[in-house]
Amino acid sequence: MVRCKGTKVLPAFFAWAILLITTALFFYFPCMWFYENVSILIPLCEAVVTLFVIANFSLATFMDAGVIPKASPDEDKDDDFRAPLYKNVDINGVTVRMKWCVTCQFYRPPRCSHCSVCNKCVETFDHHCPWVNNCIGRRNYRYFFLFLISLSLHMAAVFSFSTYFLIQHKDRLTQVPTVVSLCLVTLVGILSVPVFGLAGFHVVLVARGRTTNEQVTGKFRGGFNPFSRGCGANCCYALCGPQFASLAQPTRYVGRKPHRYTFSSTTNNIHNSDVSPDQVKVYLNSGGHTKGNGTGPGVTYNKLQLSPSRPAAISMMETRNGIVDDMDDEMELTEFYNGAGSQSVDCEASPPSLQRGGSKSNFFVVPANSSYGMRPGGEFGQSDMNDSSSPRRMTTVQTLRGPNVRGSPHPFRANRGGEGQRSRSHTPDDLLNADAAAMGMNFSRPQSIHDVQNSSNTGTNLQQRLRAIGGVPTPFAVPPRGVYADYSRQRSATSTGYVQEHGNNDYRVDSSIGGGSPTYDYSSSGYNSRLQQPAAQRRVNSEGELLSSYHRGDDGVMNYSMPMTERRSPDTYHEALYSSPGRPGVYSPTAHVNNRPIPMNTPYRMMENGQQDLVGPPSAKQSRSQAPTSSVYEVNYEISV
Amino acid sequence: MASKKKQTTPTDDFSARGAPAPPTQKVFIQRDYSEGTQVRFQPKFPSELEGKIEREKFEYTLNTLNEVYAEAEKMSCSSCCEGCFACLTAYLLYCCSDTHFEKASSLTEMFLSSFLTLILICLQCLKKVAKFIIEQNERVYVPRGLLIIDPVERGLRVIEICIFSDNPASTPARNN
Repeated sequence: MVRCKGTKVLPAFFAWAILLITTALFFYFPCMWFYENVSILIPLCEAVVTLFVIANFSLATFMDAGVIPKASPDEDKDDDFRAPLYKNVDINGVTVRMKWCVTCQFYRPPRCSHCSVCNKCVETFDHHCPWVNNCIGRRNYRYFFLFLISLSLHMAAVFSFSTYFLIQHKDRLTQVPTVVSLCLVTLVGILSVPVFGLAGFHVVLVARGRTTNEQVTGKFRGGFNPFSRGCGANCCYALCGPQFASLAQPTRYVGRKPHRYTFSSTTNNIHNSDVSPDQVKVYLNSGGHTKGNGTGPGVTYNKLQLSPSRPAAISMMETRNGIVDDMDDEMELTEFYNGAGSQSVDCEASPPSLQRGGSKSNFFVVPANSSYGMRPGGEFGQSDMNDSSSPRRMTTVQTLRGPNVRGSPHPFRANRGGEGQRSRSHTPDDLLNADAAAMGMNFSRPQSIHDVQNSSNTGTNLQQRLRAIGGVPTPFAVPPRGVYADYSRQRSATSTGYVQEHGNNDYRVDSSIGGGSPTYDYSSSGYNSRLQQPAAQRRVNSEGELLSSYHRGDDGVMNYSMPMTERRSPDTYHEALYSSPGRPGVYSPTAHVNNRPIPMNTPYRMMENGQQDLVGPPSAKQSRSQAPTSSVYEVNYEISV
Repeated sequence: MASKKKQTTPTDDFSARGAPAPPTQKVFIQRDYSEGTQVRFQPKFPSELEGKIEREKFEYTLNTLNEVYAEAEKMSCSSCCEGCFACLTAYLLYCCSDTHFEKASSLTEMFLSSFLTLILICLQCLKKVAKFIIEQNERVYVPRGLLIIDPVERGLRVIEICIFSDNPASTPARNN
């Protein structure tokens, strides 16, 4: 939904109004008395504090929070729409996952998050503060924090001086200054509760070296924060660290006009007939690998021409919000489980010993010929489309989305990067087939990985079935972590290197959807405007949806998704697909994880619906009740140092 | 809100940089996050540049860039002083430097920019990087048919190296 500008600035307007009015009243009434009867120092100090408050407030409001500009189209020219949604990177020994931002078209750096209000990715995203009508991120967190501290000080001073004034004038309660002081005391007393609380909260955050987003989403509940430098160093860094430069205007650094070089004639031997501006090769990994198109290095290729038959599988959420990642960030601060916020899925640190990728592969696709899973209201269970740590449940038809695999030029293209490679756009066919086959097995246990993967050509049937039941074929664009680790292992030559997976041009966000994000000038870079497909294909259920569905409670579908640990079954199907040797497949110490092979689908769900349990995880209910409002992944989200 | 400008590649206009034709290849060097969120690029030599440039030169360029960025992000006495000074002036210098406000006039902006260049460490480092890249391009890369694009133009996410070569392109492999 598009927020009107007026609504957005209203809280900031009120904040400014209250601040200025109360400060002015304070200076005019009680402060004058203090100046005349006590000392000039009081108004002077108050003036300094007020100035500080206003300066910090202004900076927090108007300073660029550390926005990372959108990537230009040519950065992500990978035609392979199976590029993974996540990329792993090791930071100080902890694996952190970087999520592909559909709006901004790059993999979000660690601690970066996409703000749905501002519709931009912000570095070290803290939160979006409505009172300053700005994101709080790397560049302006210090000013926001100092604003809170100085405002607390200012409010304490106003409160105490006004109270003293009142006490001194308690025999003249009907006079204007006294009445004003009384109002000031009341108002400031009431408002001081949230302000002091927030200031204290941020003091703790600064000491721990966390952001609000990380704290609320419980990223580091396990205890280890790879971004922390120690309490003292955290405080110093937060308050006295370098002021990072804004990236919004690179011309400030490189000059308005790009420097003109003199290209010698030897560099001009370009066979223009052979080379077109369309032919660029994006190669992004440290290992120097090509994109895997089989033609070896040095081969150019045309930019992706998106198949026109590819349906625009726009999620309802997307059309409602207009911004792909909107739901992600709207719920960021209210999500209470570890995989929820975009922050968490962007760069959550996962324990190397825990495998959290398996659930991505837990597609639950309701076969069209089965009434199973149809819920009143058209809900039906769906597979988890996101990574293991943040299974997103789509409980409504509308949230199913995905690319029509059949519509792609190569609907049954095999996975390139090895089994289980997850793309940013959709599920690999074999896994769709696998799940379809699993589903069609009439709720029996899923077959072994080999059987499942050997099933072929069911992707078409799957799509048909989905449509028949009113669903939209979804891109199960979630690379399981384990699988991704596999992929990383294949490609990455060094421990620190990571492979940027193939970009996905055909899921370029339609900029018009984004509520005003700039239109990609595809013509200039050779892109066909048909390429402007909504990026729904890459989008998985938002954490908000998942959370809300989680909180619904009674819905078996919802509850099914909740215990992540359930999904980490060691059964061959999941293990073979989604375990990574790089990460020991231990998921969680909970008992129910390890002794129950979990078909991610029907049997469980049936149990939740009160039907006969085929394979039921009793612990699912337990874990549900244990953490009704806390993080869904509280149990399983642990970071080992 | 309607978009106000087209999202174009910052390096689309190669003719402005003196290139006779658009690059045949672009190589993107990604960030290295192994040490945290500080700005650092992977010093690994990309295979596309094999034969086009000496490995040592490339690594020198990249390591120097990493050093300059590290200096920008280092918490040092000067950065503390910068913070204190800004605080004492009630952040006037920051207010002037990078707010969302439109500058009143270009003259004011020039004055403030020049003043701020002396003060802001990060700003200095980014300008240093820009100068270094220009110098490297002129001396090393452009003569070899390469062009380094300042990562700041890409939001400090990647270093873009454009390859202007006469590689006869084989039949473009059409991706699925």
